[in-house]
Amino acid sequence: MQAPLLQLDNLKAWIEGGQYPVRAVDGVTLTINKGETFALLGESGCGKSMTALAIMGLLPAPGGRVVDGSIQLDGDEISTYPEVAMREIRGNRIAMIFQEPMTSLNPVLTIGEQIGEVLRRHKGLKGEAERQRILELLDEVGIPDPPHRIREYPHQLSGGMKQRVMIAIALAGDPELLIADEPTTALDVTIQLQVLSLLKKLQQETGMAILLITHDLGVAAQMADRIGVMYAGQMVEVADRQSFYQTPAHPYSRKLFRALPDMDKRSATLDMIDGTVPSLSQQFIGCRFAPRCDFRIDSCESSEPPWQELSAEHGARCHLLAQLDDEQTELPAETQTLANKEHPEQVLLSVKNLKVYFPVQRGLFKKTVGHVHAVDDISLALGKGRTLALVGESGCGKTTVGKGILQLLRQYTSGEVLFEGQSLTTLSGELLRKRRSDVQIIFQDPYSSMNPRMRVRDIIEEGMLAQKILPNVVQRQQRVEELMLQVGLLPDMKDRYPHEFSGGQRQRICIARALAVDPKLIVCDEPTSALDVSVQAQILNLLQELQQRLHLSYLFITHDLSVVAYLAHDVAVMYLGRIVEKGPVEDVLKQPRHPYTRALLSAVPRLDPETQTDVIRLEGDIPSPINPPSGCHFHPRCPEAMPVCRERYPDVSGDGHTTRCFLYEK
Amino acid sequence: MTMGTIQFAFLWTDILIFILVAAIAVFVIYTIKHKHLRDPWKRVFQRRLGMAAFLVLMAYVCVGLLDSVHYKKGDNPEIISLFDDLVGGLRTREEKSYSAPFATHLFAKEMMERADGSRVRGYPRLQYGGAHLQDPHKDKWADITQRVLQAVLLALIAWLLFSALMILWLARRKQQTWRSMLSSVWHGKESLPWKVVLVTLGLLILFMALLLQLSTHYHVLGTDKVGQDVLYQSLKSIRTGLVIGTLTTLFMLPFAIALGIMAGYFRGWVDDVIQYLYTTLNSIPGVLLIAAAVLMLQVYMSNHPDQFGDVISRADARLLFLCLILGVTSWTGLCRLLRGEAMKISQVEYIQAANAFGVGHLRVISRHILPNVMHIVLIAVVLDFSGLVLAEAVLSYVGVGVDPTTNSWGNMINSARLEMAREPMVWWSLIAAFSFMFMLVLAANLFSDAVRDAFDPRLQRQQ
Repeated sequence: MQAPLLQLDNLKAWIEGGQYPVRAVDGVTLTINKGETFALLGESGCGKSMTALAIMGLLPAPGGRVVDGSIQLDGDEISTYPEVAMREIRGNRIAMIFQEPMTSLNPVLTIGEQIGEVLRRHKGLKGEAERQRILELLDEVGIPDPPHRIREYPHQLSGGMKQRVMIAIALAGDPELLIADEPTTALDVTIQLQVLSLLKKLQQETGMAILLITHDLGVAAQMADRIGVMYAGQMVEVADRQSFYQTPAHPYSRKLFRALPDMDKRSATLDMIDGTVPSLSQQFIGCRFAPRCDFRIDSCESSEPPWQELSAEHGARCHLLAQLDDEQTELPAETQTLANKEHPEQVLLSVKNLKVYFPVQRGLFKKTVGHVHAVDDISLALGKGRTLALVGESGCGKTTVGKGILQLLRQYTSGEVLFEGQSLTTLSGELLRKRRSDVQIIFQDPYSSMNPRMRVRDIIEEGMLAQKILPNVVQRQQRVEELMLQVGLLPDMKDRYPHEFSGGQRQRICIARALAVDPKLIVCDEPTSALDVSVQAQILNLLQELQQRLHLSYLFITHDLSVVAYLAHDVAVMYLGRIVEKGPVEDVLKQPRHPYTRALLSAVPRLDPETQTDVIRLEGDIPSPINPPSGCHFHPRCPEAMPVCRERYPDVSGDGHTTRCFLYEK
Repeated sequence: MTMGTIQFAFLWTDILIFILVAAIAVFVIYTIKHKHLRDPWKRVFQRRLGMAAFLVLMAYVCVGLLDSVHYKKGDNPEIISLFDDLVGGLRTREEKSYSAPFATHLFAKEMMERADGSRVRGYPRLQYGGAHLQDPHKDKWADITQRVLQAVLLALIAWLLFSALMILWLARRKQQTWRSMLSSVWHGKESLPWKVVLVTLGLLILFMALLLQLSTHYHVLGTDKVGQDVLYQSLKSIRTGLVIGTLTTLFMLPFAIALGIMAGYFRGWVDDVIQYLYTTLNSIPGVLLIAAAVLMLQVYMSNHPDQFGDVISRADARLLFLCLILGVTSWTGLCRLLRGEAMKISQVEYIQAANAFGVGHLRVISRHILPNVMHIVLIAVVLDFSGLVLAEAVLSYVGVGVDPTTNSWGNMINSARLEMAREPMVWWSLIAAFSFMFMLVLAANLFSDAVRDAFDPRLQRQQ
């Protein structure tokens, strides 16, 4: 067997400076062979990125340092290299791409200059040779028209293009190892598919090894040869792909799989992992996962489990590996089926021809020169106690629909929003204010959706005060406590400030805040996309339960199709401000009609790569909503475009499960 | 000191100063009760320089506050301040004209009459400075040295007493023995830098003791043209500087906060009008505007002398007006900052959530936006303070500042213009004004650095 390219041995990287050191990486051992892809999986705060930064010698200063262990690159011990020597390695032998392509490129340099910088530094190329190589690299990463693009600035490129440029920069030094830190997390699924297949293609061509850091089990399944699962700064399981996805060994890995929402788990509560990842600024005694583990025994809390090999390629850190392989694996199945009663269809919300156009103003006198057609003629209906999912890639206007329904963008909105038969668009003043308690919203980012200077009780109370519900202080406080219990928070947390809570707890507070005014409809704007899988399951379960109990309706805005499959009754797929397909969730997800829906569904990475057949790869990005393409907005990217698609926008066809596509028009 | 009947006199600036003090007291109590407000202040005082600067500022503030309690005493029609009363002789011991620091004789030669009636031209003895000495040429330095030593001894005793009290208090509060408390203070193990407190206070006590010992028998910083003690003038100027630095902000804040937040929150035509207003105001040179306003006031005052009572109220009215006009011209910078910040915050999701609840505009502004821009206001106020103290000096130098009868560093510098041209040069007025102003501005700047570091969220994230 050949020598491994990268070998970490009991690596410990701590960040010192606070009261206690943060043990971000606490004894990680892993090997990556040449030409192999190793995926590092885990929730946020488990030390994945810190491992990568430790390898690069880029631990946050001051305070971050490698405390113990070794990092060997091709036999060289690089953890003790001085900064000068590391600079020779960085970008040359190890390259890195980051999650956020928007902030990892310098906005005042052209992309040509940024790629050239690496070439000059590490390859000593200059002048025409440098330019030729830049063009080659841009071509390799699939950027169209390189001679033109070389002079462009980052802001002129879309997110996917920027990530391609980042890859080109990483490739410029011909690295032996590419570290990709969540390279597609900020991208839409169709773009994610483009970037992932590009990485795969480049790996085959250059034979470099990839250390892929991700939280997405699907992405890891697509890309990785071997997989390592990290928890609280430690490696808890390492396996080849096949054994990991077929027989995950560690309880944490198993839980991760079971917490994933999908169609089959509908009408059952998701198996969730209670609590959150523990703080890393403590000294652990027993197993780090023990407090959240269903199988824990006494020795889990008293002694640290040793590393156990299951086979040559498969090992895990758990006391119970041997026992777990028996029938216990499916225990404890507390999945009580929630009675999903079908209610007589009673329309709560109906939206007719909703349009939201934002004016584009230019010049000294702010003349309106055009409009952003954020939402362009949308009609939908939502029944009482039901969930309608609005699906689409970023920039398609799904959030704007939510805000349009909430009457937060009145000056730009036209069309009709009927709530219980009453038109919200024509209401104003006090009447509208009263109506506002019926429709509430939960936002994506649990950090910016609460005023950091208000206590939890004030946050939850705010809606009641504004709506003059319960004018009595004592009653109001009682209600606040009730609400907190209802969303799974302890009432004695009410005097804390938002920053003292974790992401999932914050999202619970937001839900409590919305519930405070007894709404009938809640617009959920990507409420789980900023959360980890285990916490996402907690929130989805809570939403399910509240719907059952309080008979709520949800307008669920999301880009995550597995969440849709789990939670929604109906689905509407949006593309560039319009709904292209709409229908009951099973019909749309199992028999998608519109080419865009089909492409979207096929782009979602599956856990079992074998089932991923005939991937429809969409080229390019979503066009600008200022100048949407003529005819069907989707035709420039559509694999089945016909001449008529260029001429006019297709009408709605079908009944119940409707589509706007000429393929189905009669 | 005979205690006659005391009749308090409230000048306009006094009233405003005490309102300000009350407001700050309320703010401090409110801050102490709220953890998220208390924490950044704690960070301010945890910094050694921040703590030292704060104590120096407090020393200035004490003088300023003592100087802001005005009253008439007995039948004396003159309004004096508590500070005047406390320093006693410093105010009344006036010489004939210039005398250098620690001088025993006047600075310029004069015709003197001898005991035998003959007239001689020479340096006459000062009426008060070193008057207790038999032979000033021989005894002066010995006397000064003795007094300095006495002062040091006095300061040391006072300091030790104070330190002991402080250690005991701390030990009692933290339930420790005084020995362990002493060692943890000495080694800087406490959360606050008490050692710095002790050192700074020690220096302040020493400084006070020296002045106490020396200024009763000498003019420590010399005398000015009309024989007034320069040390007294410099100390009186503290109040003027503080008034300008604080009251101006008081006038400026309502404009800056209300207009800035309104522009950023409401946008549209409100924003256009406010932007137009401050762009216009910003394009007029500030000094020009101030000069015009002050000159207009002067004309008004001389035409309506009956409205402005005595000299001191008149000077006070002018000081207040200067604060007002400085406030009107200096709100634009903060306003612009707040507009941008309010614009950013009004897009944040918690504001949208509030809108979705139907929360009114006023409530959104007061509950959501204002608390989240307060750190900017605070940083701006503290940073502006030193700038305003310096602005007063510049304006008084130009002649459009405070009333010439008001003691201020600007006026001292202005008169130094002529003194510097004399031969030999009279340098002490300028140096005194400069040193006092320098200490205040330096302390304010160091303190504002500490405040900014503690409150600026961007700086915190880097830590």
